[in-house]
Amino acid sequence: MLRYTLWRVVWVMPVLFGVSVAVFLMLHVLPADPLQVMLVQTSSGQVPTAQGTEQLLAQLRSELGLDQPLYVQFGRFLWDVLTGSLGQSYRSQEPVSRMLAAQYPYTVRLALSGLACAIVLGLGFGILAGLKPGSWVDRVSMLLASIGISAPIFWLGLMLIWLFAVTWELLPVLGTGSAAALILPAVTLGLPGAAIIARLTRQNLAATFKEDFITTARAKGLPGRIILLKHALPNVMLPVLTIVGLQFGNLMTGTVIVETVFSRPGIGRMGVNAILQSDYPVVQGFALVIAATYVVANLVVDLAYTRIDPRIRYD
Amino acid sequence: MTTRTGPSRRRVLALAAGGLASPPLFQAFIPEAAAQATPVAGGRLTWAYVLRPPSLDPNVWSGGNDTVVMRQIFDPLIWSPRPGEFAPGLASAWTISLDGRVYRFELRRDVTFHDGTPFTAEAVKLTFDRIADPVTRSLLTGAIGPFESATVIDPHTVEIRLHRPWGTFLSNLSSVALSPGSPEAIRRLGAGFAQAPVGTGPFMFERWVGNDLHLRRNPSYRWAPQAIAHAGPAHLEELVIREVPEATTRMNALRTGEVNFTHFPVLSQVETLERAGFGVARMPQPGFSWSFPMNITRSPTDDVRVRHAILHAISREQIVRTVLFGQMQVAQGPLTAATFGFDPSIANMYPFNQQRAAALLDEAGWRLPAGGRVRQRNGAPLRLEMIMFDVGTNKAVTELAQAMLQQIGFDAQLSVTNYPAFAARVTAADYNLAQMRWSALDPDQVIPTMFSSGQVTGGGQFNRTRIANESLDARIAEGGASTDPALRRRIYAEIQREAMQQGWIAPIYDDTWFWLRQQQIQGLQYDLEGRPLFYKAWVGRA
Repeated sequence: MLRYTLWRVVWVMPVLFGVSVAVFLMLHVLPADPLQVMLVQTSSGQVPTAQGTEQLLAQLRSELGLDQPLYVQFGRFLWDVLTGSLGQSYRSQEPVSRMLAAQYPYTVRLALSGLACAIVLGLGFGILAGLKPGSWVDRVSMLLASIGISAPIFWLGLMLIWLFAVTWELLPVLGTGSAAALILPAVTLGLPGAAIIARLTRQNLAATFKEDFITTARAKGLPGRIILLKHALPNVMLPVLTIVGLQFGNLMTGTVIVETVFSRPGIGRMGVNAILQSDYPVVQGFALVIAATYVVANLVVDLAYTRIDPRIRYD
Repeated sequence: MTTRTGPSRRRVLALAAGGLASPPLFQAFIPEAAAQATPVAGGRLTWAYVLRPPSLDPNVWSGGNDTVVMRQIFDPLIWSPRPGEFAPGLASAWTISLDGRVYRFELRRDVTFHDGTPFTAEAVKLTFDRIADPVTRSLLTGAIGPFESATVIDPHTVEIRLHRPWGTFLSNLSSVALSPGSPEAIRRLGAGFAQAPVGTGPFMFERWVGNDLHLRRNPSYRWAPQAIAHAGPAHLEELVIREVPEATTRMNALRTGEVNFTHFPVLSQVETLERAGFGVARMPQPGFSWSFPMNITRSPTDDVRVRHAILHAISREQIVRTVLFGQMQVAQGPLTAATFGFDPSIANMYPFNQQRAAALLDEAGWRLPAGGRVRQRNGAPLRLEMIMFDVGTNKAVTELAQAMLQQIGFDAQLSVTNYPAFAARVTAADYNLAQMRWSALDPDQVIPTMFSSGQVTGGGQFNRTRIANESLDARIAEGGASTDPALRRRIYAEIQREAMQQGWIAPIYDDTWFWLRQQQIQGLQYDLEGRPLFYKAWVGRA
């Protein structure tokens, strides 16, 4: 078990290296010149003359090392990764590591809250529906789940804001500043996952209830509560856990949209802005952090299997 | 050297600028009721702001919105209360040498930066030297133009020497870009100055909370320009700039009162909000109008009749009504109506007229084949390449124009890309219609770039008409070098007229910036570019 864990942790390194190479190459294949983007971003004030523009571009290019061959640039990037600074943003001239450190906690808090919402809502509705398949509780739950799966997340977010913040004035519109501010973003982020988990739980629970060992348990006269918690649910949890692991990846990407709609800081949005502005060092740092998070989340899920199902062992 | 002190020069230029159809500066847009109320000191204004400023260093970064934030933290050497008119700021007086190349500034003696550093000639010199130094990576080398050197004469006198006379130097000085920062802080913080700026303005940087910027009033501020008509520190205790990237969310946060000020609204909601009692200030942007420059070096737009046909075929009114919800003004020429030197006599040279457009195309030999929808000449279709980059309403505006052009028989093809791909096609002259818009106070900040040959040969991205004409270059240079407003006005009027007669561009709309506020926010003022000054703002009772 310990060996397995260590082996997995060591494997993280080549994965991150691969991600670095891929992101670096993708950025340099794109037909985007970060400096031209910078110039037009200003779109106001005194325009430099054409000659001035060329001079400025040449100066910036050499200051930023963009006139060097690709392998030199990549080597420099690797060095920045190893030294932990991850380079400097072209636009703000801030160290990327500091920018990521400032934004990352917001994203993790949102993703974990979203995950909690997905699990609580998903299991809750799934169990309610699975206990009595075909009942009106089941039908309403599954209708809600269908909506949750098919509705785009930005639309869900805007609708929730409109209902809970603007119409009923129960919660704030903006997603930071108080504990209550986290509720709407977390629910928005968690709803699609909740819908999937609910459907899965319902399906598995309904199927498990038809199994012989449940019938045996009933025949022994066990109370329904014990049958559900001790006999049925552990069998339902394994596929649910797999989905939760997969969902965490979706959640990390979903944060980009939720962060925008609810005006939350976070690396998702920082990364997207950096992509639009071709701020290479920030994009590279962002990709590394997302990849690392994904790998770690998967590791945690894999290790959790052994806790829930004693039949699974890693040797 | 002739001696012209600030106020006297101001009077002279005020006469020259008389009768200008520009919005007056420093005008409190809140009417009677607010004007009678007594301002209350203290309180907080929360502004839902579109995107966290990547940098707050005015000498390095000039993102259009971010200059509004920097304006509250930094003071310029001189203020420009009206187009072409200048008033003392951190400089109390100035003289210009007869050859127009040497500017000498007398500085105020009672000014300190937020960190306590006294404001001296050294700080002004550092501002210029820093922008010129490649290591700074400043994007504002254009703002110092033909700058040669800065010399400290004594602690409160500084001399700026230019390579050649430059008419818009004072105008550039009044912008945020050339506002001095604390030399002490710049030395201490290095590039970190951009995240913790130290200026002389009415508000001081306090801290970042996530992506929200907190500014606090500068308690020792007493050097506001006379035109603002207020002395001493700002009324507001705190100015919080919260990042809210989604427009719908900005509107909702204003509705619920979580913020009391915002910008870049959802255009379709502006009227509803106004009716619900929210204050809306519309600030027409000076500069280059949102327009389609036409490439005069590539068929079919190399034919002036085709260009005129395009001008007649596009209904600017309909674009403004449907895409912009009637919230912007129809543009008349290259310069917006709010720009110094705008010539109103070019208005409505090309009213929407499909018959006229069709006749012009017939005349140029582009005829509709029987039963066809695309005009042809000698068997070749009338193809029009439109290029644009997708920001804001650009795409909707261009698509509607494309449909209008297709109606009169153009095979109009639209390519939507990001900016770098767009710029690459501009540089290669591989298009018929591009797009252009630029905010700037003075025509000299746009006309030379949009119409001078230097931008075509130098691989520039801004002369999108591709016009290269020596006599036009000479007139542009004359306008740029002159400090005589009447002469400049005449030259720019000529250029505007020629641009429209030749059909170099199809102007669509004059960009307007919107500032929305809750009713209890009062005393806001706006600078020449229509950007708010929070110095006199205060929060009244709801």
